[in-house]
Amino acid sequence: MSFFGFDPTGPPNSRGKNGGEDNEVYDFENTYDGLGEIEEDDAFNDETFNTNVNEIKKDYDFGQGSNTKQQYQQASIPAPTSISYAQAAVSGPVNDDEFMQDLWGSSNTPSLQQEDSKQERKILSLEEIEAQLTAIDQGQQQQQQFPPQLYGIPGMIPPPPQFGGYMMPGFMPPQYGFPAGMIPQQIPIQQQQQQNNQPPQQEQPLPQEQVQPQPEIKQEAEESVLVEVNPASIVSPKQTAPKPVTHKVDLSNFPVLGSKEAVQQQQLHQHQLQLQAQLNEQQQQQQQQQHSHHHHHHRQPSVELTPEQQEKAARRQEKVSRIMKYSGIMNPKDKDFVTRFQLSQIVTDDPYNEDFYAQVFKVIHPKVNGVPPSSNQSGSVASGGESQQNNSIAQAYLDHSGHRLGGRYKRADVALQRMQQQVQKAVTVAKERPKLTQFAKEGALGKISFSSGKKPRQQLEIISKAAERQKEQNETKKKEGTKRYSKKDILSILENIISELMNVESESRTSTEVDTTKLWESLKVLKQPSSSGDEESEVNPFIQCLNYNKMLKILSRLFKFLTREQILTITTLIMSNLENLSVIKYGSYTTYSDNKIPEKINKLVEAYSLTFTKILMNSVLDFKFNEISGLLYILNGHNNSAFISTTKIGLSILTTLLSRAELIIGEGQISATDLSEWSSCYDELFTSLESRIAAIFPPNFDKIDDGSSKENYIWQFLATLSLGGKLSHQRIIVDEVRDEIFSVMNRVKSIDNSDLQNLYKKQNLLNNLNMYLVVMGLVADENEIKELQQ
Amino acid sequence: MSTVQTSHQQAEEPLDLIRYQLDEYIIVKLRGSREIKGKLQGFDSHCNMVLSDALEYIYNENDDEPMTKKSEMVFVRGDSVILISPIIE
Amino acid sequence: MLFFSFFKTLVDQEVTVELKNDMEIKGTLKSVDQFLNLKLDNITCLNSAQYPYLNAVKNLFIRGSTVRYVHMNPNSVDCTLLQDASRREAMVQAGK
Repeated sequence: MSFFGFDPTGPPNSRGKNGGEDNEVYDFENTYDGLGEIEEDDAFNDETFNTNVNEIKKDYDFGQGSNTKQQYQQASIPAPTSISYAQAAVSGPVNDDEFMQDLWGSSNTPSLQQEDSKQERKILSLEEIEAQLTAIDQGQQQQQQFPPQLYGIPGMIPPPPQFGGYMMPGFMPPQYGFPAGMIPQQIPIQQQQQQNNQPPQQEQPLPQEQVQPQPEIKQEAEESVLVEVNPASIVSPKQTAPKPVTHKVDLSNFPVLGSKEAVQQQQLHQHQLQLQAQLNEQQQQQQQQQHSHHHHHHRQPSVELTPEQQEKAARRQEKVSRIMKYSGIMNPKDKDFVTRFQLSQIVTDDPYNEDFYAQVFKVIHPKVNGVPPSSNQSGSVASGGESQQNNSIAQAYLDHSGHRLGGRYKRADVALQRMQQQVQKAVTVAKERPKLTQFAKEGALGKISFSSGKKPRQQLEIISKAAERQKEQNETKKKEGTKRYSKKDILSILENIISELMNVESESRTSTEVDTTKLWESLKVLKQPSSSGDEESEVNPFIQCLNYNKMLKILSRLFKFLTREQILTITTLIMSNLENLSVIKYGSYTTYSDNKIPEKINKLVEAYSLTFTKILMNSVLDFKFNEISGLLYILNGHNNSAFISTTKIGLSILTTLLSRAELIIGEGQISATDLSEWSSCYDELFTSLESRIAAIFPPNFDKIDDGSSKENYIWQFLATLSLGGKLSHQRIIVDEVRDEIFSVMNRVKSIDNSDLQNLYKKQNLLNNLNMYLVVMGLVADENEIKELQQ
Repeated sequence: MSTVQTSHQQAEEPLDLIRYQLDEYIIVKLRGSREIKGKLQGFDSHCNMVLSDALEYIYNENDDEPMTKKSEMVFVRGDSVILISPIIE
Repeated sequence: MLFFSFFKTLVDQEVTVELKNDMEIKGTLKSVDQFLNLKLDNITCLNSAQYPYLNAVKNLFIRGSTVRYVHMNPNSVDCTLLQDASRREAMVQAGK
């Protein structure tokens, strides 16, 4: 059978280039290759087919019309349309229980009734069918009582096979969302129950054949057409009386009713009988009304049938049987029910939970369809702003998650720009302080003349504190009571943090006071103390979590719910564990024999610059001066600062702390004790860095540095370090990085001014360099380095 | 080696193991001699998944080397899934 | 309901559906239901040499259970959101 309605044995349109191919017949069985077997394991199969998959063949015949196949040689005629959904919905009951009841109990029966009458009288016009249905609905609403004696009305024949046998079990596919519990598991038993439930009013015994699908029934129907002269006389009341009941037995096998209590069924059953009675009567009335009409059409052929007329009648019969084959399978209310059911699946009371992704997505990416989303990502906040008014759900999510604020890539720049701004501000503040002596300026680059030749970079061994400690620890015994965390443990802790965060976020949507205790506990910041150099699996779990991208992504959301003290605790933990972070531990070119950082670590570095760096910078703003010097002290004490400074993230952490401290100093509110504490802190740091400052420039820096703000982090660091230092410090720094300064100058000179791009790059390189030089009162242009003019 | 137990954590369910792998690379063994490796972006209780940066391996009896196919973003229907495993680096 | 919700956001986008019989169909996603049955418009069969049956077909309905993969444009997926939605769904499931 052809699923798409065209002749599968005919040649497909696309062929025909080669005449020889025309005889080729595609084997459509191939189309199913691989599908049949796999579907056996589809969890929905039972619901879909209501039977064991093995019993299902591929050659479905939905109408069970194989015995009439050869008759279908006429061009297809349009299937009869029925009442529109809207009409059905209007006429249908409002109450759902009621709806269900009369859907499966009574209103379905009229459709069968209609089917029957159609078979007898062959053709009812659409209007007539509609009139019947309307009448039925009215009848239902009136709820009149009719004596059961009215049962044996004429005009009924046994149901066509599709209703008795095939259709019922598989008819209403639970695929359309019936809850699993309502699916009938044991149809035979229910059938029996139904038969037991048959009301006492029913006097006639139920002929067995009427329950079973009958192969001859089709034929019978055809006969009935030919003999149809007087519909009322065809079928004896005796035969027809039980028939509606038969229907009901089958009907109540519907999944929906299958789970109902027997009592309910009984009640329903009675209800059905009553309705059935009304309907029968109405039917009768209508038949009478329409009698003349039918005479007109059908009397004639039966009186005197020419061969042509017979053929015509046969054709007509074919048409009718084709129409009927499917026409009664679902009545308008069934369809309406399915539509409503489908809608109820889609429409939900709780879109925030049930349709979360789509709801929020619509707001975040308002015009994603057709437009490349990348183009509107950066503008998502602005453009989303209007539509957000209508969608409080998504708005709430956005408020709390800080999701993609300003777009992912833009945000990275913002973080880096802020760092630069902070450094520049620190520089400006410092400039306002008493100026360095003229001597200092002269001294700063005083040695240029005799050491402009490029020396090979000193190869200093820079070992992280962690690495040192690891060497020592090989002998020392393990600490007691230390937990070792597997990767799975960490991922579990991490997901737990995220869950708690999401809980807190959704709680904060409804109340202003949110309990964040559980969230704080889930972080396990105080769970296990550790410091740089501890064995990887024994490091504090929070620190270990920071090695995962998803932790970095939620940091800003997380920090919103933490107090200043909690953030300070976390920052302190991080400072004492810097070398335990993968981004530091594996982030220094010095640990690789080819001086190349693996791609994976570079990605992590990138992720840190997008998230961690920015959050740290924000957090540090809230810290007091002595807290910052404390953090620097811890950093320097637990880690090898020289090693830290060879990593991009480590260097930016140092820059953040130093520049913030300088800004606070610039405000001039710092006590002398704090200041002296700070300068001893600085001295310690400087001692660690001294003689290794040049190492902060990765090899081939001149090739990497494109002058963008992405690569100026080293100059920013040098600027801040110089700011905090005395003249002696500054001299040492200049001395150590002089080669790099001149390397930049040489590059600037070598860039030709031919195109704008080059000019731009040149200027950027100079700007970056000048950020540092300005601290010492110097400025570089494309030709030389000279004293800054005031 | 002690395992982590937090007080309010309920018994771990199999699906939790998939949840832990969100935003991480996993390898999924599928029916039809296939495997697919990728970063887990989404999943549900049917083991339907969305993987990004995915690489599919199709094993063939005749060839020693599996055929590979790349996909930047792919939805994998759960009923094909045999097992899901984190990628151990 | 997560992926039903997910696929709704892909409506009117071009997707490539790979079926379990290896057929690959590219087309515009027109609709989806909770069984992840899909309706595609303007389809082309990517391996039409193997499966010429669909050459004349412009749109079709795919039963969800026959789908192996659906490939899509990564730009039309919000990964962070999808991950959060997955967690949310898992939480709801666990709460049941």
